Formats: sequence, structure tokens, C-alpha cells
Amino acid sequence: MRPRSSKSSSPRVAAFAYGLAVAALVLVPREAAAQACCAGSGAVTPGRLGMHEDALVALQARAAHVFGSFDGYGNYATPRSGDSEQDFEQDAIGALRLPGVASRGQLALLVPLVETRRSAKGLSESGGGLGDANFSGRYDFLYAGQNRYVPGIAILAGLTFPTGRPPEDAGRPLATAATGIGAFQGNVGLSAEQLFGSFLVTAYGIVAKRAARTANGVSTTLGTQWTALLAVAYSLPRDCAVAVSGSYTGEGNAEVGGVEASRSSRRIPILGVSGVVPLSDHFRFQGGFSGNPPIPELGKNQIAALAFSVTGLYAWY
Amino acid sequence: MYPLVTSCAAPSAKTAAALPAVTLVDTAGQRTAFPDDLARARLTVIVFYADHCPCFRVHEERIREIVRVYGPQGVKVLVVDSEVSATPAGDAQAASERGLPAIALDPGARLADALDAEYATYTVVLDGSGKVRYRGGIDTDKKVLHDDASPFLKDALDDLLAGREPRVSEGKALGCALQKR
Repeated sequence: MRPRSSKSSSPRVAAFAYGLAVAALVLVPREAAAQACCAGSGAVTPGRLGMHEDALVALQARAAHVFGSFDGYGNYATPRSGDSEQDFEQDAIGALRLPGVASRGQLALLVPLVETRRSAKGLSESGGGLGDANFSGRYDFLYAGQNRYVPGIAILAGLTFPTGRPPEDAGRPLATAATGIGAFQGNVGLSAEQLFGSFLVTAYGIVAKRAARTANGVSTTLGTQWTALLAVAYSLPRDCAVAVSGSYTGEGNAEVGGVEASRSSRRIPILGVSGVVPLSDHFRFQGGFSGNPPIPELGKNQIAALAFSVTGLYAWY
Repeated sequence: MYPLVTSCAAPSAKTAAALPAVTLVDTAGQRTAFPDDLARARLTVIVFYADHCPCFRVHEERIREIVRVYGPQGVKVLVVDSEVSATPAGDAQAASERGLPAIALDPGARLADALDAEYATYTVVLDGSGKVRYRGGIDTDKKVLHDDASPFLKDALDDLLAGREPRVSEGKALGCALQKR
């Protein structure tokens, strides 16, 4: 799980969390015949282990093009002439299943490299570096498909470390060197998933709380963030799968200097399609497109982007 | 390869006393009463079945081989369907069409629960007294058969029939989750 919190000037906000969630939905596809073979699907991290998998390593690449933005009133606007932004990210991911009686639990680590290219106000610059690393865990009390009526239930928890460069340290006019939010973020969530024939339906909710940080001598705390996601995956022959999904992320007003900053809250919807193609029992590719619908009022204080991601993953079982 | 064998230690000592007193009826009409009827075979192999599980399907060839090779040596192979959706007619059709041994229904998944069966292809070898001598996967393969797979079940049967402890007494089953409820 990695609902990465807002980097103040980036569209990666919820989009990245969404991308991880959706990509992972088909990470371990169900069998075509609708048995509960790989009922561990429906995840919230690309580092999620499938049923029987003990460990995995993965490399994920993501590119996004910003095509608009929502202001603090929910108004949507396209970039001014000459303004543009592209965001890139490469993630190293590892996951490990807990041993023995705790084998329904798993831990994952994600370390990102982040790059931004931005043109605005007649300036153009690029920057990047190490982003905020995330450590997450998941425990499946029940797998999807094990019971006809009770869905698979899992709890999720994660901690994001401020290993990236916060915006105030970016040191450039367009802040393209910013790669993190500058604060710890903790999150907890609940996931439910169930099989209906060849379909796997996943829903989850996550709440994230960000720690206070001091930027330019002023204490700042981002608002509590929540994310809800619903996704449907369909299993195809040869362990391939496709998924469609939607999520909505909201965030309360930030506190600056102990005072709530009005109209600083954020929200953003994300829709996407994704798929997975296994090349063997151990190795698979997954990828997908996701984007923020440019519909006024649905977003707020966020950038709208279209993103593509692809992940190569090797798992041991 | 990442450790696949979960334990090489002796399996948990599930004995006849821990087995439920259930009688399974298979698709050929044969009745197997647990634990009493176990004494009628040198060893009894129970393989848990799920109709649409591709992992089980690819292993059917190896199950048939186990029956062919070890049946004459006094090993009884019992394919058990503990899924809630199991029906005698469906299992009879599957056994017939796929050349499987007769499939026994496990109503209420009592046997599966007693033997900690969670996945299709999970296999348990019981001796005549009802003691578990091997539990786990048929081998190290999942959905694709490999010539170099470690044949856990075959090795265990060879060892037990030779009077030895199994070299691996607990392997990892890689099949589909059983829908027991």
C-alpha cells in the first residue's frame, strides 16, 4: 500500500497511489476457470505477493503528461500556452512473505526515483532524484474465493519516509528537483475482494495521516488523506488478466503555523485500465493507463494527468 | 530457488485419534471409513481436488502415474472433493472424462479441516494407523510441469514403502484455494 501523499506541485498525488493499486489488481491474475487459485489478487501495491509466492522483486516505470489542473474552487483549466509538465518515476520494489503461522502476512518496500520536466512562465527546467520510500504490510485474514459469501478481507498499513527532497529545498524556480513531501506519512486501510466467476472485484479504503514538518521556519501539516478504490479484474486464458478501476482521493485542509489554511484541501478522481501478461510461473509484466477526468468540481487543487506504467516482476514460490 | 520446502522436520503428529470419524463415498460407490479403513492399505494417499483448478489439472497426469505405479504396492489413492459446490454427478463426470481415480465427496469439509487442507493438490499420506507421514504438494510444480521438479509425494512413497522416514515430510502445495464454505 502506498497512497503517497501530495507533493505540493506534482500531479503524482493520488495518481501514483492509484496506479499502484490498479496495476496490482491484476498482478496475480485469477485463473480463467474462476477457481480461487490466485485469490490473493486485488492488491494495493505492485509488490503484493500472489498466493504461494514467498518473495518478489520488481522494477516499475511510470510516465505522466499533465494536461490540466483544478484550482482551489474545483475549476478545471488547461495549461497556459507554453506551459507543460511531464513526470517520470522508476521504482525498485521488493516483497517478502512472513514465515510460519504469520504466512498470511507480507511486507513490501518501494524505493522510487522521481524526475520532473516542467515549463512555465517562460522557464523550462528538469530535475529529480530519490523520492519518498515506502514500507508497507498486508495481512489477509481470508482470501477471496475461500468462502461463497464472505469476501477476502485484509488489513493494510504503511509508512512513507521523507527520503525525497521537499519542495522548499528544490532550489529552482519551477521546483522540478522536488521529489518528496518532506514528512512522514502513516496509513492504514481495509481491503475486501471477492470472486464472481472469472471476475474479481476489489474495494478498499485507506486513510493517511501526515506528520508535521517545518518548511522555511513555518510548521506545516498536510490534511488527512483518504482514498477509496473499486476495481474489477477479468481473468483471461494463460493467466492474463485485464482490469478497470476508479478511485477517489480526498484530503482535508492543511495547517500552516497552527492555523487551518482555507481552500487548501484537495481531491482527485482517477480512472484506469490495466493488464498483466505472465511469461512464466515466475516472471510477468503488468502495465496500464490511468488518468484524471477533466471534469470541474471533481478535482481540487490538483493537476490532471494521463499516465502509463509498466512493471516487470520476478517472484519466488 | 527460494526455499520451497516449508519444513523437512517430521509433520505434526496428526494421528488416527485426530481424524474425524467420517465415511466418504466416492463416485464409484466405494465407501472409505476414517480412520478404520486405513488399515486395509499399506498407505493411503489423499489428494484434495478442485474442479476448475489449473494447478490440479496439470497434475492429473502425475496422479494417474502414482495410481499406476503404487496401487499394486498396496497404496490407495483417494481424490477428495471438499468444496462446497461439489456434487456427486459433477465429480463422476470429471473422474470419467479426465481419467481420474474415483472422487470422494467430503461433505462439510470435515476431512479437509482435520488435515489442514487449504489448497487443491494438497496431499496427505496416511499410514495404516492413521498417522500422517507426508503432507503438502505433489511436487514443486505449479501450473507447468517441469522434468526437474522435486517429486515430494513420489519420494515419500518410495521411502515409506522401503521402511524409511520420508526424506521430505512436508512440502508446499501450490494449488488453488479450496472453497470449503
